[in-house]
Amino acid sequence: MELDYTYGKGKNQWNTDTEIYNTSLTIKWRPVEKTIYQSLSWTTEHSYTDTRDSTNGALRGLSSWIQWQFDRRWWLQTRLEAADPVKLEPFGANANIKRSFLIAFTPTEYSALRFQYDSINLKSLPKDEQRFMLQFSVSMGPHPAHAY
Amino acid sequence: MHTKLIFLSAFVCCLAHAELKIVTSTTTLASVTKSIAGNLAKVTSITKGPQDPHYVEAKPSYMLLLRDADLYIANGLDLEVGWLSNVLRGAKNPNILEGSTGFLNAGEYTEALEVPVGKINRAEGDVHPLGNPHFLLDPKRIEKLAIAIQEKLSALDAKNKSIYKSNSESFIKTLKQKVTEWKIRIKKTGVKTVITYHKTLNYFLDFSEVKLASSIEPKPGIPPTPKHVLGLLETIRSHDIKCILVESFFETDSAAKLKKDTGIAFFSVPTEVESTPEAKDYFSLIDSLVTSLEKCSKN
Repeated sequence: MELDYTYGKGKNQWNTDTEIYNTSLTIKWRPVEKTIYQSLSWTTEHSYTDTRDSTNGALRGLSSWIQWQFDRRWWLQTRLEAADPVKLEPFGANANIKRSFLIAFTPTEYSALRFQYDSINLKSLPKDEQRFMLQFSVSMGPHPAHAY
Repeated sequence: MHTKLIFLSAFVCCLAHAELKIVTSTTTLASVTKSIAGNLAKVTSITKGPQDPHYVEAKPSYMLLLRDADLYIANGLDLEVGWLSNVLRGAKNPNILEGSTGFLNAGEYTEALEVPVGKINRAEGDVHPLGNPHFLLDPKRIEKLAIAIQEKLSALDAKNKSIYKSNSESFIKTLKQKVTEWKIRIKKTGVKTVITYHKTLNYFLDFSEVKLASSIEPKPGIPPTPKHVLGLLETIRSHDIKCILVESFFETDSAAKLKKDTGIAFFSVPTEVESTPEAKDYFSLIDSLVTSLEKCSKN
């Protein structure tokens, strides 16, 4: 289990202060037997930003995602993100919401193929946006455990 | 005055029973260490028996365990390369850092097999640059390690030196008797060639004079590909291979497929103490492996 709290403060474009508070909780699970074939990770993060003199004032966001490794090289993930101004009802009917679902296959340690579906509900747009994405990524560099 | 005396005697009593705190990387190392330390030390392993020691996540609880340790015994030969340095750094215990008196690298007491030559790269899979690290599965390599552990314990706890020496001699005596028994049992099996999943059992096969025809993994750490499995079918059909030994922390689906297509038997075998219910200590671990070769010979 990992618990994280972050705070930041600095000057913004209106020459007033912006304060950021962020809290996250991650729970990880991996079986003792057949360790490399299954794992589960669940993270929930809450952010609060107070920008004085901006149009919206304080904003808050919540995101939560679950990642499930169901075979040595296969993953499923679902993610929910919500954000809205603090002056409104917390994460109510007027919140901006994004829902994602992805399945990933990692053929090698240095490559990954993933298919992702996003449903984005922004209050500033007349209707929801549906997005499909197929991504293949290749990374370079040493194998993490060794220098080669 | 009376209260002071009671307090002092309680303190002396606890000092007399103070035991060494020893942490090892694996349960197999813990078992060997317990045989030599007896009840003079509390021995704890970071990895659990059924766990694959290659893949361990450095948890804060390991650091807490190491913070108070008097001795850390590592397998060495880069087995713990992915996690040990993080755990040692987080423990903030200078007494057990590599090079300190409270650190013992078991791998320094053997001559490793399969040390790669020339330039190595990731194309060869998860290659260990210092050689195959699973040497504890060759019982003939344990004697030197047992003496090294005895000497280390004696250096840390000189007043019990004679007990550690006696325990070590007793362990080595039993080991030598067992080696003779195991050799006779292995010879009787007539098993000459096997297939394994990973290269974990290579030291045991070297001890047993059994050849490794191939591994289910095409390269160390790389899961089997359909092409490689097809190649294995051909190897099994064209050679006198008695069985497949699958290390207990790996899946058995690939071996089951090979069994379905060729009729070859497969057995899930322990590679660490406590990885199966039979492998209760070092001797029963090796005994289980010898038994698996005996089962092979019946197929």
